[in-house]
Order: sequence, then structure tokens, then C-alpha cells
Amino acid sequence: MNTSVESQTHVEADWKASSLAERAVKFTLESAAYFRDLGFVFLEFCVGVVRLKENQWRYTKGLITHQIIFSGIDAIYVVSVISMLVGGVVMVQLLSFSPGFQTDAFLMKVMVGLVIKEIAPIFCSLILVGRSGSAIAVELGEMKVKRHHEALEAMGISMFHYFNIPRIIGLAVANAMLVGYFVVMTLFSWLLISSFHQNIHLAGLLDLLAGSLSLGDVALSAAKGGLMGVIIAVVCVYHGGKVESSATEIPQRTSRAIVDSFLYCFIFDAAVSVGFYVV
Amino acid sequence: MISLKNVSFDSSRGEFRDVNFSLAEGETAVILGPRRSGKTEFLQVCLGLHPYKFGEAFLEGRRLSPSGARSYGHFAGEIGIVTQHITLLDNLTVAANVGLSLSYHKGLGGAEMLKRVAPLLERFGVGHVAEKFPHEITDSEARLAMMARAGVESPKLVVLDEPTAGDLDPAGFMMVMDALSSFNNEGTTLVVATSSPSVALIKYARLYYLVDQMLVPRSAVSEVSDPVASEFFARLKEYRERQSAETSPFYEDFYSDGKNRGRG
Repeated sequence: MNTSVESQTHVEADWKASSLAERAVKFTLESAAYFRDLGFVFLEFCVGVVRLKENQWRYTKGLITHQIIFSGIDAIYVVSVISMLVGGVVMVQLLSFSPGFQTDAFLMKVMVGLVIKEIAPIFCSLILVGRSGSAIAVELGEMKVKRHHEALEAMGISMFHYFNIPRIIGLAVANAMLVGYFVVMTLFSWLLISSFHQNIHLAGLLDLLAGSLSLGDVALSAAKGGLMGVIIAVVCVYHGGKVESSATEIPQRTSRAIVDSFLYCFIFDAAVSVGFYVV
Repeated sequence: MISLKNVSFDSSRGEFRDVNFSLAEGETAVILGPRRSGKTEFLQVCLGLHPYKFGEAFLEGRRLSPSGARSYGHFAGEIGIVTQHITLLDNLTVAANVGLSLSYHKGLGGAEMLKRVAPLLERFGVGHVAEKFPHEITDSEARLAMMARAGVESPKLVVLDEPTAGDLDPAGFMMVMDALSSFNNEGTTLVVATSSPSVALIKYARLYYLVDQMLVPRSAVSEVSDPVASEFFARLKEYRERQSAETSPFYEDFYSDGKNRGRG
């Protein structure tokens, strides 16, 4: 108890003693090192994919399929419910502003742009982080604590090839698929509401939708989701792999992986939106 | 096969100096010593995984770099390694764990892999748990499965770190000892590090004891004034006497001929 109090006091004293500039420099250096490490994980992934031999690919494909089933197919239920609720709520809100909005092309473009291009990839990524990203960080951390990497290495199997490559590819494909479901189920929710709402004419809504939503928009949204899947997987395998020998490191690293994944997905989404639609 | 000449290396217990050790093909060496006496580091020096300062270390005629920069991956298919911790992958069945290297490197499908692995599982006494997952089997079955995994590519050398560690019941212990003897009978070179005196009863084994940061052959232990070592070998002697008198049913199956044939 005394030791922990002393240690805390020591940390506080150090914190007070260091100037703002020192802290800023330290933070910058640590952040640079962190992004460099994440970059190395991605680079190692690219090199690893190229270097996988035919037999190893055969086995890895099975692992990728397994990951896609867990992250993409098993999440259909959650994504369907959330997408219908989100799509429905957005439509109900627009109806409250403008009861005849199905004739308003501008409002329809706002709804499509907001839900299909922005909310769909972000929500799917949040679901992916919660379901799969956390699981990956915990699983990898536990494997490190249990020294499974030593057993794999002894069999000539790289931990990176065995664990990380299928996770990164699997999450990218799964998230692109989830965005696709999200879009389909959102459109379904709109059609469902319109069929029950007396102020909305289904034919008019479909006409406006056809004019506001292109296949390219859906493809771009799915591509954004796929890249967010890569970001989530890279961040989560990095933090899971950073666990050394203590089980207490697993929750610490997992929570960091989740928060960082959220943050980088939002930053990426903003950067793409600004780059693609504004610049 | 393994040769250390005047090797010095650091361990968690301090610096080991002038360690000399040699093991020819087909021989078995048992490295005895209490927990945290440096056994794992010694095994790692033998494999080139741990740095050493002075002397020379050879594995299969090749000089090992003092940097200890090798990784476990260097030995794939050549040396079987059984680590101290249970390292079966949780999401694979026992059979898939044992045949993982065959599936991964050689692209063997499930049925073909099982066909290759089944006799090995039977040989190590874990055929009945082939389709179970690691959390569904006992510690001794997991250790036996790890031994089967180490032997799946018929390596010339198998290195085992604390093969009887964990929660082994007497039957499980006997099964592990049988598995060790199975390697021995196949002519595989075996290095076993253990803190359990009873493992020293393995047939034809050359015994060494790690004491005071030295590797002492069994024959020279009396020259070392270490109370732990003395008590250890006194206990070992007692085991052997009980065994030869056939008063202990515990080891009867293992020593079916009723004689202690160890060379130590």
C-alpha cells in the first residue's frame, strides 16, 4: 500500500516538475513512435501476404473464412436491427420537419448522404470494434500470456502469418459486407415506413432515391468500411501483440485498442469525406 | 548432437560459469534442479535461443552464435520442443493441434492430417481425446498431446522443459513417463529439464544437477556441498531402492522389468 502511494506521489512530482514543453515533446515523440509501429504492422501484413506459400495460403484461407463468418455473417442480426432503427429514426425526424419530404430532392440527398455515406460505415465500424476488435486484442493477448507464440514458432509458423493476416483481411471484408447490409436494411426500413405512412407515396420515394443514390455511393461507402476494418484490425493486433506476460495487461491493452480504433475510424472517415466531397 | 564447452551465461539466478555438457545422438539427458535454478535458460543456450558470454556451443555440428539470436522457428521440423507451459491452441481440437504443422506447411486436409496424426495420438495415449478441445482435457493429456505435437515430424532431437509440471495425477504422471520412454525407444535424442526427482528414473538417462550456478554430473554431486542437492539425490536413491524392492506400485508399469537400468 505504502509503495503504491509513494509511487503515485513520485509520478505526480515528476508530472509537476516537467514543463509543458517537455510534456508536449514527450507526447509528440511517443505518438510518432506509436504511428510508426502501427505502420510497421501494416507493412509486415503487406509483405506477409506476398510471401505466403501456396500451402500456407490454403490454410490461411480457412482462417479468413472463419473470421468473415464471425465478424461479417454472425453480425447481420445486430447490423439489421441498428440500421433499420437508425434509418427509421432519420426518416421520422425528416418527416417531422417536412411532411412532404418525399418530393424534396434536396432533403432526400441529405438523408442518403448522411445515412448511406457517413453513418453506415461508422456504425458498422463501431459494431466491428465491439464484437471483433476487442475479441482479437483479448485473444492475441491471451496467446502471448500463455506463450502460444513459442509453440507456433517451434512448428515454423509465424504468429503474424497465423494470427494477424487472417484477422486483417477478414475484418476488411467483413466490414465492407456489413456496410452493404446496413445500406440494404436502411433502404428497407424507409420503404417499410413509407408503406405505412399516408403522407409518403412509395413510387415518389423510389424515384427520388434512384436520383439521389448511385451504386458508386454504395461502393464508396463499402470501400470506406473495408479500410476502416483494416484500421481496426491493425490497431487491435498491435495492442494484443504488445501484451508481454501478465494477464492484467490484457484488459489494459484491449481498452486502449478499442478507444484508438474508434478514434482512428472517425479521423479516417472525416479525412475521406473532406478529401472526396469537399476538396 | 549438443556440445557446450566452458560456456558461461546469465540466468535469473546469476551467472553460470564453465558449463560443459555433451550429448550424442540417441542419448537422453535429464537436467535436474529446483524451480528457478536456470534449467530453462540452460535448455535455451543449448538451442541458441539464449545468449552466452564465453566458451563454445554446438548443435548438430553447427556452432551457435553467442548472441542467442535464434528463434524457435529455426528448428521447425528438425527439433521437437515441449515448453513448460501448456501451449495447445484453444480453438483447435487436440488432433488439429498435433497436426497443425502438417496442415499449415504441407497443406494436408482434415482427413489426411487425421490419418497421419491418429497413430501418433494412440502412441502417446491421447487417441481418445483427439476430437476434444484443450479446455476439455486434463493437464496430463494436454502434456501428452504437446509431446505428440513435438514428435509429429519425427525430429532427431526433442527438448522438454518440465514435462511433469502442472496438475498431474499419478496415472497422468505415468502416462507422461511412458511417453518419454516412447521417445527413448524410438532412438530420439532427448533433453529433459525437470524439478521432479521421479523423472530422473527415466531409463538410460544421464543425470545432471544444476546447483550453485554449475552443471554437475550425477557422479560428481557428492563433491558439491549443497544441502538441497544432497537431499534431492538421497530422495532419488530412496525411490530407486523402493522401486527395486517392488514396494511401490506407483512405478511398476514403468519399470516392468523391476530393475533400475539408468546409467546416472
